Amino acid sequence: MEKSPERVEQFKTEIAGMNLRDPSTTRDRQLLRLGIGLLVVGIAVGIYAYTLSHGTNDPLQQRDAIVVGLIAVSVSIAGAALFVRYSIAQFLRFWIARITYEQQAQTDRVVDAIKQKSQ
Amino acid sequence: MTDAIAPSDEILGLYGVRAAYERIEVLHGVDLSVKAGTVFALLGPNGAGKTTTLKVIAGLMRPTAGDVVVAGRRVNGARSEDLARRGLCLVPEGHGIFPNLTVRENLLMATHTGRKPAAIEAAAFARFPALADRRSQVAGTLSGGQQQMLALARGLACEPAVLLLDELSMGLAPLVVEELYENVARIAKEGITILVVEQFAKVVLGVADEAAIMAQGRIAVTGRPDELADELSAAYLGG
Repeated sequence: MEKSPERVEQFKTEIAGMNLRDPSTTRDRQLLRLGIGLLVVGIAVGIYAYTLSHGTNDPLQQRDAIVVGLIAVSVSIAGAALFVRYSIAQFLRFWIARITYEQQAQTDRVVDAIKQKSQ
Repeated sequence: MTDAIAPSDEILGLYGVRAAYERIEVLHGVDLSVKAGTVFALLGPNGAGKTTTLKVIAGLMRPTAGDVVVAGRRVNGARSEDLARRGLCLVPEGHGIFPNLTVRENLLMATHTGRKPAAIEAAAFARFPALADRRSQVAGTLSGGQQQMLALARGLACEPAVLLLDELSMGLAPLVVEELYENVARIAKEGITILVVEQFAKVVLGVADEAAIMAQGRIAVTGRPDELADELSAAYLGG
């Protein structure tokens, strides 16, 4: 263990050097809502594109509808990504780290057991 | 900026901190100042906001208003992992260990600090000999007291400058609690700043340099442990 005054000084230096994000408490929530909004808009536009395509025999208009549909899919994917990033991702991050570590530890145990057996 | 009003010997400070779970505000303007190298006990009944206060300090919750000042710097937007990496470590309520991993593996979760596994183990087992014999035992099968020792050992393996302890005594027998707080006293002698949240007031006041009583999301009173006896009964019993 280091001497405490040195540790405190080191701590102060490291805290002073930290890069801090914008402390806005509403930003994450706004982005979460934006994600949900984009997801819903993407689905709605996709349905609109389907009706647009289905309601005409004009190939040009149908091709336009395909483009609109593709845009809708892109918007939905972007919305889903935002939703995942700002909702469950934070919750899951810790568990992913844990699972990764457990798998690593399990692998090490297996390797050790194989080594012991081969000796 | 709050930096200017923070005393020079303060390592941890809360200034008018408010925090809420969704729309329900649980901290209504908490003011707190912890000096470097001291043990500060935060006491109070269930639901007073003690654990939420620790969460705000550790960066697990963002305050809706006010300032969290660590080592003279306002850190409201800081991520908990960044603060932990620099030495602000939280030992959470309910141990927070990995029950499926062995004692040794739990300790090695702290290797991100760059310390060698052997050094981490040696330090932990020297401090908590009861864990040494159980290094290969799955942590979930340890007794409650040993699990809490493991949680403490893992927190210390991160080489903290500030240690936040949440309800060390939860679910433990009084003798085990006393043993744990003997360890806390030893840790404090090494100069690590400790902020301990506790309902078990009597034991924690024995090791604290300063204490505060929280009630209904506010700090009701702050002072030396010997000054707080009357206020304690009022806070717990509603005097």
